Amino acid sequence: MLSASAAGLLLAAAALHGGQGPAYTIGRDRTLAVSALPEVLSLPEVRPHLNTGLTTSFIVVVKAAAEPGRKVRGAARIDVRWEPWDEVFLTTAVGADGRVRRDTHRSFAALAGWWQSLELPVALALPLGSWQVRVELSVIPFSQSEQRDAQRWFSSAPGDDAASEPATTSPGESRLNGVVDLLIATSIQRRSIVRYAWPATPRPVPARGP
Amino acid sequence: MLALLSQRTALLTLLALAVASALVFHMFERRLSRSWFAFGVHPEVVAAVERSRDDQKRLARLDPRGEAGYHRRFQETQRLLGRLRVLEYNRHEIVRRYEVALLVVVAAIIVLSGSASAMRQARQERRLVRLQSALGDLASGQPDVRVGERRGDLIGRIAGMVEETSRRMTRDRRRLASLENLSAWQESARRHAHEIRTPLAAARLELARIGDLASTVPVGETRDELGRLQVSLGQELDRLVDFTQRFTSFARLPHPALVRHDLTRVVAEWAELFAAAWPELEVRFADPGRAVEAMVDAEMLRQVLVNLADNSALALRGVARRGTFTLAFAAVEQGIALDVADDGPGVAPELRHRLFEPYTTSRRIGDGMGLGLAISRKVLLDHGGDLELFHTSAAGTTFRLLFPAPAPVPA
Repeated sequence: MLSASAAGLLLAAAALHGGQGPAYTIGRDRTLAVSALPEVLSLPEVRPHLNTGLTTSFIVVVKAAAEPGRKVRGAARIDVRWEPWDEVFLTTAVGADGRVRRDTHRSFAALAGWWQSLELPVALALPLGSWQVRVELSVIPFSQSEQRDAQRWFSSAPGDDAASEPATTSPGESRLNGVVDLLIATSIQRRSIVRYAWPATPRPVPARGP
Repeated sequence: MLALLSQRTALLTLLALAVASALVFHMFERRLSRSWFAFGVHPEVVAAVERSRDDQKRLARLDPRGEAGYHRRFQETQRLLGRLRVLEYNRHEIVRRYEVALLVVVAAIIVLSGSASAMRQARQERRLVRLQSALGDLASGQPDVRVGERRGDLIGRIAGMVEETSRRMTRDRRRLASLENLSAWQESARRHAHEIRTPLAAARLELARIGDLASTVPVGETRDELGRLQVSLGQELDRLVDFTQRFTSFARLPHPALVRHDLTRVVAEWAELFAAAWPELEVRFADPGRAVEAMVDAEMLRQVLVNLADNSALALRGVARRGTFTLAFAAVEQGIALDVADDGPGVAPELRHRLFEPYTTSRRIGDGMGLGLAISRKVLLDHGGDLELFHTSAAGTTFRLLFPAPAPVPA
């Protein structure tokens, strides 16, 4: 797994790379949306996680700044999970507007295509002004429910249950075991394994049809 | 200053030991916990679970009728796989947390042990300071030094020895003072006896001459009167001789000829021999049924017992009932103790503190000189023991005769 220092390194590398960054649009309703997210899914530090069967969460954080000293933060989340029985990718995208977009992709190529076409609202009612937008993307290898499930499972791992050693575990020892379980179970936490950051470029709002 | 330095050195050593122990434990436990965890999420374990999961899928294809069951097992295996992967993602954090928890526990144990050890050391130092102070008191000759240590460890045993030494020194000092006092009294008695004896001899000669002169007087009333006077004067002179002899016997009290005796036998014989000597007393001896050996002058010991029985008999004079005079051995830490008890009216409080001084008596003039207890104590002191007023009350009096333990007989 990637350590925090390695994640920081990638962040710096991505910033220096200066490759094709994401785009943003500010709609007539002053909704800030990001699109054309760089294709990170096939990068070696991300790709292996997509096939684990766990839900990989992509947290999109947008930091917008405008003169004089105005700052706005927005966020969206994209979950990707490989379903090994059906051999499909299940995706869920949730934007700042609260709308949940669920899709199924039969191949990795289809997933990558969907990723490229994704446009996510990240901040609502953006004030008027000339905004500089920066997009940060964090990759978390499993979801909150998977975290809780693993915590529960780890806390009640075989050998700790009362049935296995009913006579040898005193109440004091049992309490101590509980504390140790809690201590270790709470160390199972969701942390980003890699982070990217790009400056976003503005994209004109497409004209409305007649 | 030296104590402070040694305390600091001890603390630094303890700290260094604690740090070294913690480091060694940390290295060991780090190795152990990582191996343990690595076993749980070993890639081969994960690969085996993956294969098991995929097998369910293949089985479903081969046996479509059991697809629901295979699918359920597939999902279960997939869930297990997911959990293992979540653990794998958190592997470093879990191990780190586990190590920190263990390290905290070990550190707490070390700190608690260190604190307990430091407290113990401080307590030992306080005890040693008390011991040092007691030894100082002992060296400066203070009587009845007390350390106040009752534990059975080395310091406690040394404290016990210091207290015992002090007790012995105090007792020996008291015995010495008593002996010096009695010696002064003996010297005084000797001089008095000497001074009285010369005029007493002259008076006897004069009385004989008066007798001779009276025989020349014609028979009659005058001659009878002279005869009566001669007899009366003779009786008074006899009393004076007796008084002088007692003075002399106190002054010339012989040193005891110590011989190894079985005290049980000596006392039993005395009790049997003197059982009828005092009509107002019933003499009893609680025979221990074993030999109690001591170095004694049996004759002098018998005299001491007679003196004590005399005192008891006199104390019981005027009491309507017959009293008891009981002899019994008592258990003491050192030496041998023989308790001699009566059930008389007890010793008057004003006499108790000077009971063993010569010429101390509660009897009427002419009923004794108050030398019995003084002589008895002198005898016991000369034996290397002592005579104590052990207990007295309206219900009776107990005197304790103390004898030193005899040297062991060579095999």
